[in-house]
Amino acid sequence: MTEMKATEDLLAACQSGDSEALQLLFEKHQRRVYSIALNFFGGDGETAKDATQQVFLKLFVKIGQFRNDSEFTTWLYRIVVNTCIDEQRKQKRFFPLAELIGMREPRVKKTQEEKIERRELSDEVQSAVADLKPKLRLPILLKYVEGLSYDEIANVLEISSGTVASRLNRGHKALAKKLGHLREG
Amino acid sequence: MNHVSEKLSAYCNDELTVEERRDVELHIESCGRCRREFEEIKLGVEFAQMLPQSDAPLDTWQQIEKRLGEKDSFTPSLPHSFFSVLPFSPAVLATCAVVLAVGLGVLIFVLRRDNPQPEHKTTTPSFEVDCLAGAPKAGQEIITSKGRLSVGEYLETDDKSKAKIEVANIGKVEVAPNSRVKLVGTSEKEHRLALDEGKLEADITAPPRLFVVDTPSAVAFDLGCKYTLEVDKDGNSFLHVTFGWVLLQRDEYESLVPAGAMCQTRKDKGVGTPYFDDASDRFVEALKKFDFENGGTPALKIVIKESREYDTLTLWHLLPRVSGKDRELIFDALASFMKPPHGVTREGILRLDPEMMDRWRQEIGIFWFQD
Repeated sequence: MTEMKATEDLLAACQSGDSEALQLLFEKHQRRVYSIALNFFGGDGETAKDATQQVFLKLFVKIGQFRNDSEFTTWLYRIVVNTCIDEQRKQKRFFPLAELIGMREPRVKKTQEEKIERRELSDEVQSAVADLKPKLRLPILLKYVEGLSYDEIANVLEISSGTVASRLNRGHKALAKKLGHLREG
Repeated sequence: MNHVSEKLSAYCNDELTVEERRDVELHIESCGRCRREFEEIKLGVEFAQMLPQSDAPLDTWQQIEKRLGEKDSFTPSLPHSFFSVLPFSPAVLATCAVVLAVGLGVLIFVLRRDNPQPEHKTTTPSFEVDCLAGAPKAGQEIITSKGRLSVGEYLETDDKSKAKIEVANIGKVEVAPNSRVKLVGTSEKEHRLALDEGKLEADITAPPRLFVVDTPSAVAFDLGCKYTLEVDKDGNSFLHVTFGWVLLQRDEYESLVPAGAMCQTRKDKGVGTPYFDDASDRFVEALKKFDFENGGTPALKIVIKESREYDTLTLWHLLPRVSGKDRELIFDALASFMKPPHGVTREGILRLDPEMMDRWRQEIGIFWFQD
């Protein structure tokens, strides 16, 4: 109850234009926003940072619309999801040009040999998740990076809980297929 | 035997009721297929649980702060006291603002008394317009850099000019050459344009239905998206959505158009059926014949034959637009891509039972997300 009140006070302060409150809000949510974006983009820190900035800029424009913490959290996740998808589309659209003018390192898929040399299994998982289609990737990220329930995920993605379950089913199977060799004898 | 595949992820994540858990456990004990699937899903869950969390780089906030301070990045809805970094108290600032406003008001009054100017642009709601090329016209004003488009006024571009309309604080609309766009209204509840002719590209971040565009043949409701909308001289329109969703509506017909899909409308025929932009030429041609040229069952059969799983978007929209044997054909085609979920029957779908339609749409809509 105390934390809920503190959050509502923080939102109220942001809504009244308190710049310190905006920064506090950023500090409170930056880890979840950046973590989702980083895993969405397979560990690409630069893109994840761009996406994180976009999320908070959009957030601050719309902050006046929210009345309570639960609405805000759901909406925050929706902005993160939409921003990640949007950023990925931009990458697909501009990728050849970006390569030509050297703005960004091209995302080159590593060979199987290079993957085996990686030390952290979590890097492998991150890469495998990033290879999933967004409709399977997003429920995985919201469930395992953020710990949302199926109903909460359904609310964020505006789909049914049944569809969440179905997509997670497919996502889990895809991960098992991609990564299962790492567990074999 | 009813397998439990669909419940295995939820079982692993403790999302089932006690009774459902018991049923799954009992079934797995006796069903080799589901037990193997369970092991696979359990492995996938174990991997997914390894996804890392990270803090954003240290300079992220500084960069956000910098962009918040840039004039062009932000809209009038930016909290005013973000500028409280200034060395004056809000009360002092407010007092100065009032004094300045009064002083300016007097000056403007004097100037206008001596040099009458059209008043509507300062009192009527309006959007900012930027010139992107040539000399677009907003109302009676030719815009060379920045101007305003007031409610009731038209923005017109010739073959050499282009413009950008800032739609309140929710996005922007780029207006192509040879176009005519009217600002119908703007309020907290709705921002509405009318595209009489030409082409615009909208990029909107807003709650659904806050941004609306009228055309001679249909109304486009923004559901949080980017899209291109074109209207020809006969009032027919062509919509292409690149992000999010748009709802096209006229009379009793609606077309929900997702990213990667298109939809045509005809002034004399209404809203067409949406289709994905990578559908085959034969598919698109047959659909056009069905929608606007009384193509009937022969055209429908070609659409069905050419359909891929993504084209269930089109088939879904066709369900309420056909009847009898044609509706049965559409149902069978949809079911071949994804069987209706438990509790949704062929008979129910054929009579367009709303609850069954909604349940099946939730499942089949999985194909309509872009990769």
